[in-house]
Amino acid sequence: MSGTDEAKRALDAWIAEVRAALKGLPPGDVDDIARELSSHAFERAGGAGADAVAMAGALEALGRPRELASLYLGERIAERVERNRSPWQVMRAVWRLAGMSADAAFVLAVSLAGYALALVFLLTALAKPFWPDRVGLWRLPAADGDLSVSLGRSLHPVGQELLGWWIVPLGLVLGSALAFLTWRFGLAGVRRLGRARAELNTPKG
Amino acid sequence: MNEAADSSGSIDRWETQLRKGGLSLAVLASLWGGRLYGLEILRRLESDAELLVSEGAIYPLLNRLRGEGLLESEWVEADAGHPRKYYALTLAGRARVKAMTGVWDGFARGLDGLLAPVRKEGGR
Repeated sequence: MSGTDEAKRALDAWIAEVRAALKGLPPGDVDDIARELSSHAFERAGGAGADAVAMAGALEALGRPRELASLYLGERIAERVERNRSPWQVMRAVWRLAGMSADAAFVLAVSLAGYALALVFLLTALAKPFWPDRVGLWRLPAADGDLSVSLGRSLHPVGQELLGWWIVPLGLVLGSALAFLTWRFGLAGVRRLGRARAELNTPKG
Repeated sequence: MNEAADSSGSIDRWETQLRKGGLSLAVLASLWGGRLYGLEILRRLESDAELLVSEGAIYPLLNRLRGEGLLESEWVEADAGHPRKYYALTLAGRARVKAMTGVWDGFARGLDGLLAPVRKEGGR
């Protein structure tokens, strides 16, 4: 096998990996991306006479297929969120980005915790009128004598309620505020993490 | 010595952030004189602005700028034996470059005023 054939085989294998990692994008977009990256690598390696070593260098300069594909996917996810910023779409975007980086996984964890707590506040506020004696913010005697606080529906009738009916307006306000802040946090995360992370190398004199 | 290394690392990180912030403007400005394909844009950024961009990352950025309507692209069959995807500024892209240049110039002028005494002191 000639060096040129080896170069072509290396390029084809690299492009196949990029294509596989771009799963989820429209096929036409994947074809376009693959064609552009092939053209870049081909020219960077020296054109028609490129050998395997030159092609390996060109592909290394382009980056690892999965990482490169994640840049495209991140851009696409961020672009979709700019068109529809609903909390559901933002959470979907955060969920998809979470598989690409540890930072995005952290944003997902904080978002899930934020929405869960917001939901507890809101449900507590809404349920209070129906079960006034069992729903609220409770201080519960723990087994070891310490005190713990429980928000929501108390399973311990001996617990002491702390806020009474104030839990209704407070729960609605805090739950809504927490949900709003969690949404903004997720949106900022998608914008920051989804955008192309073009790394620049500063030339040293 | 560690302090000197830390200081150098901080400066490097700050410079990287600064260059990243100006990258969109640099890419758009590189197309002011006419259409270019990806590798040409990279070379222009390096030769004219000393911006070394990781090669793979330029394409998602170009994709985004095209999605925002600032660039248009077309495939051209080149004499080199393989097609090249050329990018050009749209009217909205040209307007954006002008606006960004104005902001950049204003920022630089303002900062120059603050930096004048530092330069004067440093020059002694």
